[in-house]
Formats: sequence, C-alpha cells, structure tokens
Amino acid sequence: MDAVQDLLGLDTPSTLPDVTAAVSGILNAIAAQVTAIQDALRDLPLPPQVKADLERLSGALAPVLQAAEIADTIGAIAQFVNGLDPEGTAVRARFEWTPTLTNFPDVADDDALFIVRPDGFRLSVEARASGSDGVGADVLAELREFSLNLFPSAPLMRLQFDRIAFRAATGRKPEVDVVFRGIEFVGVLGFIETLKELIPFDAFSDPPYVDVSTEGVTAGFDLALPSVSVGVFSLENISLGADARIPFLGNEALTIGFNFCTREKPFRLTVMMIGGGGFVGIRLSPRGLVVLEMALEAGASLSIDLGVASGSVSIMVGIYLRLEADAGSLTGYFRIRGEVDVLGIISASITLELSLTYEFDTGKMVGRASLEIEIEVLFFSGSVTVSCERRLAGSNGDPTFRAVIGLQPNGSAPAWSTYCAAFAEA
Amino acid sequence: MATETWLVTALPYSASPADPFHVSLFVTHRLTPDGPRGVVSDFAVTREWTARLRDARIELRGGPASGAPFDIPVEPLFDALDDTLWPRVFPGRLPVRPWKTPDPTARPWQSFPAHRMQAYGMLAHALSVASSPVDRPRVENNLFVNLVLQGLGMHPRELPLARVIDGAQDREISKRLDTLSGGGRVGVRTPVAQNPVLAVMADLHAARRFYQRTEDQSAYRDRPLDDAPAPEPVRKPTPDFHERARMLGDLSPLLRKLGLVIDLRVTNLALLARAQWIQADLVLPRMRLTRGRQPKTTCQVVGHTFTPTSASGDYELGMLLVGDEKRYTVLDLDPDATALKLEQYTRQLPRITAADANGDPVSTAPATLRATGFALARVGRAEQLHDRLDGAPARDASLLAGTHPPLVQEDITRGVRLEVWDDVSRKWHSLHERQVTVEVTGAGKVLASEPDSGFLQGAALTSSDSDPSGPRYAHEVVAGWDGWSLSAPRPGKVVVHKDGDELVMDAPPPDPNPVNPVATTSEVAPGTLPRLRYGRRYAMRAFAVDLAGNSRPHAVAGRAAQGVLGAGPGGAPAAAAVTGRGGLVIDEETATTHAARRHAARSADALVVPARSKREPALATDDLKARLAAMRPVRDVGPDEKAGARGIDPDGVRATRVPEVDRLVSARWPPAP
Repeated sequence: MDAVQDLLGLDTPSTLPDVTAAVSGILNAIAAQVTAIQDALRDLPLPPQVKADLERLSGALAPVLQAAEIADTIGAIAQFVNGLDPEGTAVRARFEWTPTLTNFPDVADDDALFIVRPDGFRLSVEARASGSDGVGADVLAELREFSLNLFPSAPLMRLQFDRIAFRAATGRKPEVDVVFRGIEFVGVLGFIETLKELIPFDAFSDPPYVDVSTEGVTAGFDLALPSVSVGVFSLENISLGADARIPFLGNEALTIGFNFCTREKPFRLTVMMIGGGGFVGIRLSPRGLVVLEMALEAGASLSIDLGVASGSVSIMVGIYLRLEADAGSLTGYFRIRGEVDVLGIISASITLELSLTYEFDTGKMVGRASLEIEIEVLFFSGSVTVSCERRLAGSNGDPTFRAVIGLQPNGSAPAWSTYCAAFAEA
Repeated sequence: MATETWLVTALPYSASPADPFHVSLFVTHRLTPDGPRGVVSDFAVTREWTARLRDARIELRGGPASGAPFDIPVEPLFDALDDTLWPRVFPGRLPVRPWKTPDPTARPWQSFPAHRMQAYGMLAHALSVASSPVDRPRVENNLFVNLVLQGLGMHPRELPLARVIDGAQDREISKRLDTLSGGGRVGVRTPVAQNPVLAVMADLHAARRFYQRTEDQSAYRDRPLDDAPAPEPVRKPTPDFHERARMLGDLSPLLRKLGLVIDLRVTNLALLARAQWIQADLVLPRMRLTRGRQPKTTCQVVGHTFTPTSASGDYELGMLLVGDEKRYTVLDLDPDATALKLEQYTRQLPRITAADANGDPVSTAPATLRATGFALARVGRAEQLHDRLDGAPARDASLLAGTHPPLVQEDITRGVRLEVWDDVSRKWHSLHERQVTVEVTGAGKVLASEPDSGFLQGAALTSSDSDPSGPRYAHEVVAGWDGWSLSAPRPGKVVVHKDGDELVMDAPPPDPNPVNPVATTSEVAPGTLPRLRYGRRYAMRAFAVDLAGNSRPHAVAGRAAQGVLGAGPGGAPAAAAVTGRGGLVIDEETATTHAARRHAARSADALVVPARSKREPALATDDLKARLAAMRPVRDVGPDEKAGARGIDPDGVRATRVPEVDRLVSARWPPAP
C-alpha cells in the first residue's frame, strides 16, 4: 500500500475519486509525452530504425491512456482491493463465465437433439485466501432449462431439465443437483410410458451417494423395493437406480443413467402362476443416447384371433429393445404352444413362433401372421393357411386369476379342480 | 364334366394279431369342377361318399423291394362309418375349387439355429461368472466381453462415446453380420467366419432377422393416434370342400366316421411280414379303376411292429431318433428368449464399453436366462424341410401318375406325440391324452367326451399377413413342453382381446357366420399329465403320427390305471387295452439285430463331412462348447450306455422291453464329459 501511495503522491488513505484523480494526473502526463512523440514522428525526418521503435512505443501506450478505461481499471482494482480484509489480510477473487449457448445441432428446437436457452450456462469460481482461515474455493457450474430430444428423426424419449448443477466448495461435500422437469417416452417406447411414474424425479437433489475422484463426480442412488405378493400375483426383485456423472476432464462426457431393475437382476412378475420379468436401462449424454436396453418377458393363457376368437392358448412373449444407430431396434417373439381350438375353423395342436411388432397408430404390440400348417403332408392333406392375430392390451384390464378361474361364492373353483386332476399321481 | 379322383395311401400300423387292425387307408379326394368353381353335389360319388364306401372292395398288395407283388387279404372295418354325418359336414351346396398343390419353396425361407442358443447363453454366463465370481463384471475383467470386442475388431480403450453415439458403427456391424449370416435365409451360402465369436454373433443376428420382420413394420409415429383406424380384421377363411377336409386332420375319430380313414384287418400277418411296400386300391361299383396307380408305401415288420421306413434316418421303428445329438437337441432354456437377449447384450457391448471408459457405473453382466420348460429342436430343420418340399408341384404330378417312388415315413407323418418320463412317478406320460367332444351342425354331438390321443402338428410356416410375396419363416423347434397338455387347453375362462381390453368370458363368443359346421372342444384326460418340477429328472420320446392319426401302439401312464390302456389310433384302444398286457411285444432277437444294423448305419452317416457352409457354424459351436465344458462343473447325471437317462433306472424304462429300442429315449442332460 505504501508503494502505491508513494507512486500516487498521497500521504493518507484516500477515497476512490482521489485515487482516480491522482492516477489520471500521472497518466495525463504520460499522454502528453506520447502526443509529443506522435508529433515528432509526423514532422521530423527520423532514421527508419528510430522511427519504427517510436511508433511501436506510441501504439502500445495509446490504448491504455483512454480516460474511461482508466476509470474502469481503477474501479476493478478498487473492487479487488476492497476484498482485502484489513483485519485478517484475506483475499477473495471471483470469476463468472456465461457464454452464449446454441442448440446442437444449431437448428430450430423441433429438429435439435440438445435444446438450450442462450443464457442457460453459468460457471462461477470464487477463491478465498485469508491469513486466519486459510484458503478456499467455491465452484458452481450450472446448466439451466434445457431439453434432450432423442432422437429428432424418430424420437424415443424427450427429457426436460430445470437444471443440472454441480457445486464444490472447500470444506463441504460436493453437491450435484439434477432437477428433471419431465420425461416422455414416445415412438416404440410409448408402451412403457407408465414407467415414468416410477422415476423419482427429485431424487438427484442431495442424492444418497456421491463419489468424487480426480476425474469427476458421480452421484446417484440404488433403491431396492419390497416385493408385492397378493394371492397368486407377485412382483419381486424390484429395484430402481439412477446416477449422474460430471467429469472434470474435457475428454469425457456428462452422462445421466436410469435403470428399473437390471439386466442381471430383472424384476419377476408372476400372474396366474406364469412367470415373466424384465428390466429397463437408459444412459444418455448431451450428445445422444449412449445405452438403451429394455426387456419384457411374460407368459399367459389367452385366446387368439383367427377370424373368430379361439379358446385359451398358452403363449409366451418376449420384447427386447436396444439402440441401433440413431433409432431403437425392437425385436419380439410371440410363441404359441399347445392346442388351438377355434370353433368352425380349425382344431390343431401346434408350436408356432411369430414376431411381435409395434403398431405406431395404436401404440400396441401386435403378433400377426399367416400360418401354414400340415405343410409336411401337403400332397395328401394340402396345407392349411389361416391368419392369426393377438394384440397385447398393455396394463389396462389385465384379468385376475380369480376372474379367470371362476371362483364360486363358496370358495370352490371347478376349473381349478379340473386343472389339479389332470396330473398323474406323484 | 366334373371329375373326381382320390389318392388312397396305405399306412402301416401294427403286425400284432392282438391289435384290432393292421393297416389304415387315408383317402384324399381330388375334385375338379367344370369351371373355376363347382359344388359337392356335382360329384356323383363324393356327394354320398360314406354310403358308397360300404359297397367298396379294398385290395391290398405288398411286395419285396424287387420282385413280384402279392395280394394281402384284408377285412375293412366299416363299423365306424356314420352315413348321416357326411352330408352335414360336406353338404351338396359346399363350394368346390380345383385342388391346387402349393409350392412352398417358391418364396425365400428364413430360419435360425435355435438348437445352438442354449450353448451360447450358457457360454456367456459361464465366462462372465468365471471372470468375476463375486462382483458384477466390468469390461476389463469379463472374458466374454473381450472375446466379443476382439471379434468385432475393437479395443476397449479405443471406444470414445462420440464414436458409439454416432451410429455408423452399429450400421457397419449389422451389415457385416448380415453378410456372415446370410440374413438367416435358408440355402444361402455364407462366408466362413474366422472368429468363433463372430460365428456366434452371426447366428444371433439371424435370430434377430427371424423376428424383426421388415415386411411387418409400420410407419413411424411418435404418439399413438387418439382416433386410430380400426385394425384390418383377421381374414376368416372361406373353405371349400378340400380345405374343409384338411381342417379335420386333427380329428381322427371323425375322419373314421366320415370314411376318410379306413382301418383294415390283415388276416394273414405272415404275408404282411414279407412286404417291403404296401399299396391299396379302393374299388367302387360302377367306377373304372386302373389298378396299381395308387402310391406305394415302404414298410418293415420287426417283431410285432409294422412301420414305414425312414429316408432321412430321423425315425426308427416309428419313433423320432431324439437321442441322436447330431440330429436333435433337447433345450431346457427358452431358445427364443436366449437368442434375442444375447443379441441385445452383445450388440450393446461396444456402447457399454464406451460408457465404462467414460467412467460411468456400468456392468457387463449378461441378462438372466429364461427357462419355461423343455423344447426339442431338430438341427437344420428348415434346410431339411426346404429340400423335401422343393419342387412340390412336380412331385404331386408324379404321385397322381403313379410314377412317384414309394412313400417313406417322412412323406406320411402329420406330426408327433411327445411323451415324458418322470423319474418320480417312474412312468411314461403322454402329453396328448384328452377327451374330445365334436358337434356337427344339424347332427348334434357326434363325439361326446370321447377318449382320444391328440398330437402335435408337424412343421408350420409363418409369413407376413400383409405381404403375400414375403419370406416364409421356419423354426427349428419341433415340440416343447411348459408343464401342460399339448392337446387340450387349460381349464378356466377365456381371455379375449376386444378393442384394447382383455375380456374374461366363459367361452369364446360364438361366430355368427361359421365357416365350418364342425365344432370341437377338448379337455385334458384326468390323471395323465406329468408334473414339471425343479429337482426331478425327465426324459422325452416322440412317436411319429401318420395321416390317419396313428402312432405305433405302446402304453402310457394314466389310462392304464383306468383300464383304458394305450395311445391307440384316434382314441381306438391299443392292443394293450384289449389284451390287458400293458405293452407291445416284440420278438427280441429280431429287434436287436435290426436295431444293431440301424445303429451301424447311423455311425457311418456321422462320418460324412457336411458342406463347408454348414460345417463352419458347427465347428464354432463345438469350439464354444468345448470352452464351456471346460468351465462348467461336471455333473453326475446324464444318459448311461444302457437306456434312459442317468438317474433313471433303465429297468424301469419299458417302452418296448428291448434295450436297443428303448435307447431312443432322449435325456435331459448332456453326456458327462
């Protein structure tokens, strides 16, 4: 401080206008000398080498001698100096960066993968140094009000975020704050739209685990839910998990993952004693979907449509979804095994494997095909061709075991008795 | 002028004097109307078929492979005929269109090697478990993952997120696998995959192509329409005479009442035993007949068994050779679920690897395996069937002209009867015992809770309902068992889909415009089914079922206890039921010699090296199986060299009392290494 006061010719601590005036005086004197040099350069026949040196000196000094900029500079210095704690000799420095963002790719919102608002990003760094309290820093990175549209050409899901924020402060655990505004499953994922009801959108604010390494921070939760078992219905092995990873290094990407059960530990759903299960896993980054995998398996005894409804047929269903390039690859099988009994059309015991496809107009999974049976004896019987269809309704109207078995008011069920009596002893 | 002809196919059944009949005849009407369409009443014999049949004379001939034929005296059993039924089922106004033999191979076929899927699923799990027995495996320590990445020419550290998200890599891999698998097309020669893992992925890719049928995909829409148009209703067939007759194929008791199957009792069985082929003529009064033009059927008599011979070697004395691992594979994992989940997993691995490299918390554990029961797969079934049906119209013409080679088991087999040995009940259980009720409009119940043995239809082809030129799809699985009867529905109400809802009904809604006057309902026969339980040991066997619904007489559990022994033809009691002896008697010396000769022939077949394109995937599987076998713990179960499966007392397996024949049992477990 003494050195500054000596330079400015001030004997006592002064106000900001005093300092500004003193600095302006010094700079005005320098400006007069620069003007004199510029005049000499214009009027005198100087040797080329000397002239070049003087021009460089004049060019370098001229920009910093503007009065307004001088005042700003002094203001900035004063702001810094004011951060000095006269009592504890502490220093605080703050840096804020708010670049202008554009969509990725830089197109209209409807066609973009990553949709942002121009002022949606803020990086704020504050550093502190104090003789009494040591040093500290507070880093806050925040991306606000953005959306992911995966994928623009054939969307599978749309995610809206209020913000993703990361804060690391000295002496405090790192905080990750991810606030979803909503998620929408569309296209071939439309039939699992109800799954979003299971996603706890607020679970990333102060999540159960935060792992910090030199490469980044990962926050998330894994939640096991109790099994639900009522009568012949049971849903077991339910788990939810989610994580958000923010890398510190530029060559890695921010990702967010969500899973409803996992590949190796799917949920088990048993209805009417026929088992099924599945899982859903999603991992995405601002650049696009990284991993999308889903499997649903089920079995049931249902009728199929062969022009008229058949009797009950044992079916097994499997639906599998994964990413293929920038679209979903949905594969499904629909297997009929046993007797197909259709009044007036056909009675046959068959094993049939059909494909399951997603019908975009209705949002239903449909197994439909033309079947040719007796093909091996076509010279004597001729082949029989029939059309077959089964639509899967989804979650609405699933019958209960009680309804299907026809439980009587007295607790008996003739169909159940018939079922049990079908088996041989032992 | 309308013409009517018929094929009469002689079907061997039994050579036992105790059996009620020995040969069945299956009659195929070939009606040709004057124009594109006629009616049944245009055909003088057919319109009153059952009544005319009573006046018919049946001539059966037999003969050696080369040499003079000889007549075999027979006594037709017309007792089952019901004259009132024919005009109800085939009324005079029923349309008749000319018979047309389809050409199933005119369109491309697709399939995938379902029999290998279990080994692949087990391999992925075994390698993952061995790599990381306690924790969920990561990329760097999962041997299977590294094999897949090596096969795809990738290195775990060279997979940045941007590269996998780009999508070009996915397209590139799919293209490569399309080339290696031929897209699953049957008969397409494919290049040899140098890397066994790539061969595995090519097989999985074929499974994907089998189920992800491009011709069935609809146009993309991100949200379903609120007012989506009603889906195109399923086309209800409008069967003519020929098609209506075909639809009765599962109901052999009805076929006998209608005179479409005629049983013959042979009075001189010694003569029958000399025959290596048989042929029958149906001589109707006032009908001209050229004798000897009906098709011949190959046959063999071994002890009291009388069966057709097999050209492919898939059958032995009327049973499928399910114990031959070169031909059949017993799967206790769901082959479809295993294939599609493993395909999903292996194709996601580059993405999972990239996420792992990004530091994300991902694992490379494979998806769980799904088991719903047992399935029996025929190795290369689609290729075999395709070859057999190739040129069907030309073969049909030769059949009508009487120039077709003698028919073999494969030509006249309509399906199979699957039976399961349960080592707790210590019995063979049929999965087809049922009680059938058949109601014919105008005739009432013609069969009321009639004991019957159903059967599983042979290969079925599926294709797109909306694309008549699309490929046909053939699956390798011959039969499967998930714990319930294969020939009767589960009891209980019916769940019918209507307008997006599942409705529970007592019975399917009646058809206001039925296309067939025959209504069939079936119920499982009580006390016949085996119980599918973990911890029990099972074996399987399969009997061929011919056009008449016959399979070789034998005994099964359940009905014996009720005194109605036998899975006889179309519900007719088998010999054992009549004699009460509970089994088939075979001359052991004859049968043993025969079986030994057959076995030697099979061994010679096994030495033939198949074509390269077929051999290569087999080598890949063998290689993977060897790795798997090296990692799997040795189990102390498996078939032993005598009969049945290890763990089952061979003495308890008494299908025929001939060990060589009883060896046709397939065990659940692979042989212990």
